[in-house]
Amino acid sequence: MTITLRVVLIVACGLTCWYTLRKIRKSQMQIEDSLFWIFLSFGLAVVSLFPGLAEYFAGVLGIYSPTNFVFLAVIFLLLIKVFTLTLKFSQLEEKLKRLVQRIAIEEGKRRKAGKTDGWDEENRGGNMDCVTVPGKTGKNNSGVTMEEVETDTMVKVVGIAEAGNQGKPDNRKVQKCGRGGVNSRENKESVFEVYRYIILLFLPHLYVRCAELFFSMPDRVSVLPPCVRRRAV
Amino acid sequence: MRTLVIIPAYNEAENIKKVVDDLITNYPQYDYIIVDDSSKDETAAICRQNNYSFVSLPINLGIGGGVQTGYKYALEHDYDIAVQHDGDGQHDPAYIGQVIKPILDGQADIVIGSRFLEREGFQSSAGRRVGIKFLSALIRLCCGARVKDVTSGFRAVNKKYIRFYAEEYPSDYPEPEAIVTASLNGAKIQEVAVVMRERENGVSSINLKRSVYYMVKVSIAIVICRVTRGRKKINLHTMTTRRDQ
Repeated sequence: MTITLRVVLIVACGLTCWYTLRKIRKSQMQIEDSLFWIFLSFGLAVVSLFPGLAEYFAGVLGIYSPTNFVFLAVIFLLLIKVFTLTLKFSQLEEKLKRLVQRIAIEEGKRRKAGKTDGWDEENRGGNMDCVTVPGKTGKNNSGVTMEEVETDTMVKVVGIAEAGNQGKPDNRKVQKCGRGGVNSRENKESVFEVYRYIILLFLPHLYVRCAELFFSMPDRVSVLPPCVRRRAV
Repeated sequence: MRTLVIIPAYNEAENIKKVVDDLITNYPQYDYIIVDDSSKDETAAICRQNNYSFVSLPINLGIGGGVQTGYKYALEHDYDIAVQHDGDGQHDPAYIGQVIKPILDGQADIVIGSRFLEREGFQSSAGRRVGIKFLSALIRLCCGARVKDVTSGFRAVNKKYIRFYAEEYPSDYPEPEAIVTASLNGAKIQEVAVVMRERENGVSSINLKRSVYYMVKVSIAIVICRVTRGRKKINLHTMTTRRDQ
């Protein structure tokens, strides 16, 4: 295993750990669910620190290169993870369905009994964890319309996007339920910001490699599209 | 001081009547709430028949979710103290008074009823005791709370931490983690000695494979809690909090 690969594996381990802990700190991930990622990243670190392990297993399984064994192992673990995720997802759907049906039946009972105190069937907002407050609408840096609300403290229930830039005050009611958590906008965008930085880092290198490849070809003219070819000749 | 006794119950049809009748007749000064965690047996039916105060969860959430429901109930009804009390008959309501005393005196925020302070009564199996000792040392290392019986579900919590637990309570094997999260948020934790009985009827939900998973998961979770939060120390002399990492 080349030294570059080993360094990359250790860096990947560090990044995964750091990122996972960040998500836990923001209450966007439960500790039970993070265990897989922590173990996976430590596994990568172990393999890169002790390449003899990968060589041994590659020999036993008849794989030519230890690097290929690392790939196989990671793919295998990911398959397991996807399978357990599918299981969990199915169970969640079932639980959600039961909960929804239960709520609907209870609401029906209350309506029949003629009382709706504390539980507003039509607005479905009478919940101890959520409060309605007036919010300001405005556009943030990317030009996306967002609601600006003050964040409350530790609640981690379903939330509406917070933060945003100054905008005109608006009397529209907004439900604020806390920061972070399942639905927060920052949760959806932050995954991509990592990829953005990685791609930006590699772009000049990619450009140089493509140029190198192109100029090293003896028959480079034939690779060009017809309109450019006509001008070149 | 209004006190709520939270009784989580999952498939405790044989024990629940004894436990709750004892509580109602001998200790009427405490309010109670049974949290029926979607039991498959007649627990809910028994509660309904005897007109107990209970809440029935539509989906099974586990002990963490059940107890947290009790805390949410306590928060909503504005109780001053909440006491966790198991529904399987292992805990003795006679000790509730002792367990809430340090809170009434203002000496502690959370009080844990410990089997191991005076080593009387049911002491649990040897294997579990080793595991509990290890967790106790780990918790002391990570957050400074000196607790001998970290897995005890017999604990009392004051109003500030009712609100804390109602919002954030671990779901899987929650007892040790709950100590760590509260302690890292400035809780003063004390222990008092209690005597627990052995489980009379029914089956405990812990077996060997689960014990191993339990130890590994709880240990890692405690370390992660410490790493992701830092420590808030309360200076007893000046009663200020300062955060250090």
